[in-house]
Amino acid sequence: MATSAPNPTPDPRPTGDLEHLFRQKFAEAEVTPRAGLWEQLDHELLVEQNNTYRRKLTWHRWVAAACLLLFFSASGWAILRKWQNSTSSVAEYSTTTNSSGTRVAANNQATAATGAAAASAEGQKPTGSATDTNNGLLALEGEYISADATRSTLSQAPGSEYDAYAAQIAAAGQGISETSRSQARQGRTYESSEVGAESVFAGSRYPGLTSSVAAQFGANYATESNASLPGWNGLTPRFANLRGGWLGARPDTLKASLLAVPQPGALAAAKDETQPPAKQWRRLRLGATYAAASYNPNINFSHSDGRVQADAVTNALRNYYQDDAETEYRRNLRAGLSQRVAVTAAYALNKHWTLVSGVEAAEQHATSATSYGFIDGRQVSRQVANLFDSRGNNAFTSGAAAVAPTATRKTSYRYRTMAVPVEIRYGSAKPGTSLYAKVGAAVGLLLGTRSELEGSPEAARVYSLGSSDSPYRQLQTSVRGGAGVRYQPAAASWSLALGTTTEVGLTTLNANPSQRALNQSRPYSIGLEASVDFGSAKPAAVMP
Amino acid sequence: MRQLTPPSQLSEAELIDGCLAGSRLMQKYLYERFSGRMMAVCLRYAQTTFEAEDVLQEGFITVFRNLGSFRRECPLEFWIRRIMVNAALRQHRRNAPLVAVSEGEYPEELAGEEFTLANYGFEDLLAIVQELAPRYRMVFNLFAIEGYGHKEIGEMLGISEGTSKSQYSRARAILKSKIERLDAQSKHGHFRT
Repeated sequence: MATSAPNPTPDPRPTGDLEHLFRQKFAEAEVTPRAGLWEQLDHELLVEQNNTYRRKLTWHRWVAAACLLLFFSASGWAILRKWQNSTSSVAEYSTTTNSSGTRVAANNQATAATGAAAASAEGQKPTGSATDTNNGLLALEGEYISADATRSTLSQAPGSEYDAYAAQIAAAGQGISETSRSQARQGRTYESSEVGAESVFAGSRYPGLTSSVAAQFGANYATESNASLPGWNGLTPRFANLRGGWLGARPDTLKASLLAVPQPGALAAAKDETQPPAKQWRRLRLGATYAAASYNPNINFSHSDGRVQADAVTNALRNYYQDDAETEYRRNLRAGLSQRVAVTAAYALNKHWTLVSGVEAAEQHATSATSYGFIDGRQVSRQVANLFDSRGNNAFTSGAAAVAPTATRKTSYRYRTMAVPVEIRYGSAKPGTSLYAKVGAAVGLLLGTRSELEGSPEAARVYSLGSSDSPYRQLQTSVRGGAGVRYQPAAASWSLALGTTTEVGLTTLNANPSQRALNQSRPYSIGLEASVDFGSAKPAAVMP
Repeated sequence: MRQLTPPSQLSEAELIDGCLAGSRLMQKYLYERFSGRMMAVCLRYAQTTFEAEDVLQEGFITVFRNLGSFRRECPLEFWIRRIMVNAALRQHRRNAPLVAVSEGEYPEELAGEEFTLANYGFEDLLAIVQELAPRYRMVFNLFAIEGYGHKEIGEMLGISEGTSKSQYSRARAILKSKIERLDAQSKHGHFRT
């Protein structure tokens, strides 16, 4: 411990009391602490800094996990909701076709189609199609109607009111309005069915019975339509009708409606409307993406991380010009080429929004220059002697390590990553040329880095995923966005997209930055992206 | 290569800003600029050099941790000195139960003395202050050197104002006695330099 004489004091009195004596002697006294005290203090500061990092890191991880959870929950909810909407659209379609049936009935009421012929024609339609339930049901109905027509034709019991009525219809082939037939076949609303039945049977011998049965069915349907599966509710009365025809005596009042067949044109129109929604898998498109960008790691090694165990030389040199080496590194940092390939799967949420995810691999390059042998936030160790052979002028010349070379040497950095991106894209799914825009995020792993000092291959540093002393953060997160043009030829199952892409890291590339979150430097890239994808030739996302 | 600014030419504001930006070099410069004077402060409050170094280290950690709250309304040295004194007080509280107060036979009142400043060196005065019992040393430093009142000192040390006055009086008597002994030694050629 060395002491120095106290500095001159403002009170120049040569004598004084005890307080004055001590105050004068102690006020400006200086005692140089022992040399190693700063090293201890530095270490203590690093330890404290690391504890702060750990707390921050833990917090950041929880936030990242919460964000991912929120994102996937929202995505799942959106998909489920879309699926439910597509299911309920069948029910809506049923309601819609009901009014269509009414229109058909009105039309057919004027033209009065031939019941037996129409039934026969409809009965010839193929049945059992797995993809067209309505077709199958209509065909079954056709069979039923055909049989009914035959039955009515062959009826030999004039005393039977039903048979007589059927025979009358079969013989005349006219006079039966389509209204009840259509509405019963469609089986949608019995309010209109009731009206139709009344219009058909007005003046007939069964007005009261017709009305009452139609009303009864209306009530039944109304009850059934309250069931939890709206998509099937429209079909239920139809099955009930068929069961009545096959398995037992069906009500007489249904006969007229079942016999009534819509015009082929009207039926075709109705069938067009009965096309099922697009299959879920048809919304999926698989593809590949290539992106080339200018990548800047934007690392700020300042206030280097104490958790990264540095060698003794680094620790010794750090005390003298670490900050200058870091500043020089950042000043000479240049962006390099970044290439990214990805295999993607795109799922059309609706006709405009598409969710894209996949797996991607990327390689990024960057360069800098150093006159301190400063690589990856540290000084090179064994090569220090060579680097510092050419001694230059320096403000600090205390000790051999205090002199740095004047000539800078290029350093090259290469980073390889593997990531899972999740993006949401807005654009048209129709064939032709259209614009798109997308935003998303990616979570990836830094698989490896390689840092080279020009002219000193032995100084190259390689870090892999398992390197515990890596100064780089292994888990990387980023947000990205882009916009461009998409082209899909008509009737083609593939499409091309070309656009810009921008990516900004949410995390720093260096492992443990000491700066506050807002002051941290994060990597970024700007470039172009081309992608191709394959899927259904039809616009997958377009829903009826 | 960029020419470095010598640390002696850095202003206080530059040092503070550099430290706030996380520059370890600036932290080192700040330490180097103030560590000498603060070590002298810590030595006054501590009984040994090791203890003083502990206080100095704890004090500087507090400085770097709380530098952002320094409002620059007073010289940085005053602020750091206050932190060092507080660190010394914390150290004293930690060690107080282990150290017994030596109760010597000293006169309660000593007045009218006149010392020639040039006759005494810093190391001599520091040595006799460090020989004081911890409580006396704390009270003497806080009252005579730092300029705190007895009421404040009582609050700092958890003692009454009267106790602070009494202990200061005893400390003063001890110091005067030792200084006189020092004078006697110097007259016989044993003055330490």
